[in-house]
Amino acid sequence: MTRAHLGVALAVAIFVAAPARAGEGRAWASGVFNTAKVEASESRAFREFAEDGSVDVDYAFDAGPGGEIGIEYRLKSGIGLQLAAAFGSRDGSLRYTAAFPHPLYLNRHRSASGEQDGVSLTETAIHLDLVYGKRGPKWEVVGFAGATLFNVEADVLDRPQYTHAYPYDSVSVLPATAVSRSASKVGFNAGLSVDYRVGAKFGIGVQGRFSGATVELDTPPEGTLEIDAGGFALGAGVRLYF
Amino acid sequence: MQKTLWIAIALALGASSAQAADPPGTRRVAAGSGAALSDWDFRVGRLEAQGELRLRQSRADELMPGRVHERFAQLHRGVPVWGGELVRQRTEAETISVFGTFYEGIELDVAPKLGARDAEAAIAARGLVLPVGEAPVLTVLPRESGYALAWRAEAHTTGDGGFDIRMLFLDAISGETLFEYSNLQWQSAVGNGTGVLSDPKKMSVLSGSGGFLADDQLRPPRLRTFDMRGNLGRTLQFLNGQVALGQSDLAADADNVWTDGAVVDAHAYAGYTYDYLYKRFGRRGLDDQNGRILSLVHPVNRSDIFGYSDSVISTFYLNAFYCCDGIMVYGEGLPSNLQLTTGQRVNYWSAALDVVAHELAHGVTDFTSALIYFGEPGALNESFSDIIAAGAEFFHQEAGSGLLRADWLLAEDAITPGGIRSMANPAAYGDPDHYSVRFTGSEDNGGVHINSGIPNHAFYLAIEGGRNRVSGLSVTGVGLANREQVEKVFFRAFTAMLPPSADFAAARAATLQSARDLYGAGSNVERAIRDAWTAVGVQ
Repeated sequence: MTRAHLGVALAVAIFVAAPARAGEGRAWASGVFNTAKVEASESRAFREFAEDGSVDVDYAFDAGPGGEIGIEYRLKSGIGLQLAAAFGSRDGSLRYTAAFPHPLYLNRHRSASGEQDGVSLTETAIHLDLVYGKRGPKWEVVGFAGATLFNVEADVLDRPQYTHAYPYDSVSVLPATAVSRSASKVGFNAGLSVDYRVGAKFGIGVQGRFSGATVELDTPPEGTLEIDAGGFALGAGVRLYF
Repeated sequence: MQKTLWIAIALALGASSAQAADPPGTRRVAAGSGAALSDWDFRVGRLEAQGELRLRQSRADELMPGRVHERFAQLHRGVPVWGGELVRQRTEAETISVFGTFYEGIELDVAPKLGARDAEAAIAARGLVLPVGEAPVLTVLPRESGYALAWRAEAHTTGDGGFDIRMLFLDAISGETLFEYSNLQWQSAVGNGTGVLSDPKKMSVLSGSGGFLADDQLRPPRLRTFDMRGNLGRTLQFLNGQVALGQSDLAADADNVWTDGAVVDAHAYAGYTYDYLYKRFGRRGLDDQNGRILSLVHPVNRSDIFGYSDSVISTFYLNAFYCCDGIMVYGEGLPSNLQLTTGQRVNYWSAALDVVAHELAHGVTDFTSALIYFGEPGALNESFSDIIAAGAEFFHQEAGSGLLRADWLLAEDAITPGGIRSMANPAAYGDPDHYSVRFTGSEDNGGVHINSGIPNHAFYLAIEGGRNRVSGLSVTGVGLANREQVEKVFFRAFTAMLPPSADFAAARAATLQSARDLYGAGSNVERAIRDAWTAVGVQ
């Protein structure tokens, strides 16, 4: 389902359904699939043997599963607030190329490269949204948008280690290792959910949410990795109405 | 001079060697079980009761609760024995292990003839100071030959020669220094340096809390650069084997950003030359055993030049030389207001990579063919140094003309403009380029520098090709890109095949044999070298 499809569905729902009443609310729990792959790169500079060296790292994290729970409360007819907490995890890999300064000569860097699979990226997000919903006898459509507090924890490349021996013209890199780094950032989100009531208090629903923020992670020794957190996530789960 | 120096070095190192070996009665204890443990456990108790051991420390084992480690210092008639200590590990119930060193059978009178004040005076006389509150401690010093009563003191260097902490052992009878070492903890470091010609380089040095010293810790040999700070007397004393240079003589820098160009170039270029010899020929330094490489800079001050004799000026201002046993001395050059009669200016001699490589190559010759430094073998000796010099330049610098470029001139970065010799055109500097015009007089040791032009030109022609000025014969060289082949041929011939008395004809024969061995009979290399020797009139 594309964002265009969701927009059409939302528009149709708004025109055919009545607003939900003030004082009503719902809670939900959904399984989520974060559809976007996350790719990020960083370039680090470091000082070694009285000269600058560099490491360029590319990260690729696959789409991955997650979950979300939330609660919504209608302040007045059709309009309300919702608070949701979501998490997601992705597996990925990193690849780097490095230029290590030569200990004895200027401008004679030794190049090396390495990679590591099995690194992960975990996101948690707290969404605080303004919502507007329309409800029919069985169906309810809710659009929402607001702010998101992201926390991203990712495995980043540790400082590459190597061994060398005289005459030091090449290096033997040791297997790449990753260290966990985390950071938080406020971003945004917007989306749409469609519920189907299977009883007075219960229902099922699907949801699409797009969220985003650029989170900066510190990487060793003094680098920065910018990760585009969020992306488009599709979810489906149960609903509880009150 | 070389023999004298060997003796001096042996004397200088003698104390260290004596200390390194164990005296009679040394017991290295490593008792972890059985009868040995029972025996040493019993002996610790008995020796402590007899006053030969004193518990100096008892510490609980933080990794194994219930274990205690006791350190017992050895005493001889109440005087501590340097290095003598037993360490006992025990629980409340039993002894687990005893390790350490114990010196048995010490026969030594512990009444010093010199008092602590005398020791302090001796330390002060060396320009060292004791930290406030510290005093010499009477000590029994184990030596290879036995035991000596000594005043032990940890003294600091003073002045601008860098910082060092010297552990001294002064004979409590005679006052002489029995043994000493630096107690300053050092580690390898790499710094930035600016050469004489303002070119940046890296400096592989020694780092410590007191600053940085020109002592390369990254290359295999002991590669050190001494700043003689214009002290010609000390320089001569060292070269004559009368004093040994120590850590305080090393060139030093406080922040590891080295700005003394003469020091930077001497130190860096010695390393460059070592690297060239290793990478090109697989040779490990001058003696092929990573023997020491010592560079001496600033043997005199430029401003003192008018106070010196012609002999000193020609040796320590207008020259660089390989002394002996891995020691190079680089002349100071001339003050900026003075120049040679040729109109050339003379900079610090270490400014030129080819000069440094040339001098180090004399060391290689010393340890290999030992070509006699007179007449034709002497000219071959000089020529081999020039060949290595040019090879090192082309190995490390871009080919071209001007400063810091690889070319066929010698010392052009120190003696400007033009350097002192040309391998491409020896005649331009008054040197012969053909055997028929060789120098036959007695000056210059029978023309060792002058006649080096002939084999130098042969080497050049074998690589670059060209036409000899005298014979008119043309040579097709192997090309600069293939110079490695000719370099290897000459290196192999000069270091492995020539006898000390070799003449030019022998050099021709040896290089041709070397070329055939390496590249095959009839190879381009053999042909180029044969044609080159023929072109310069050497048959």
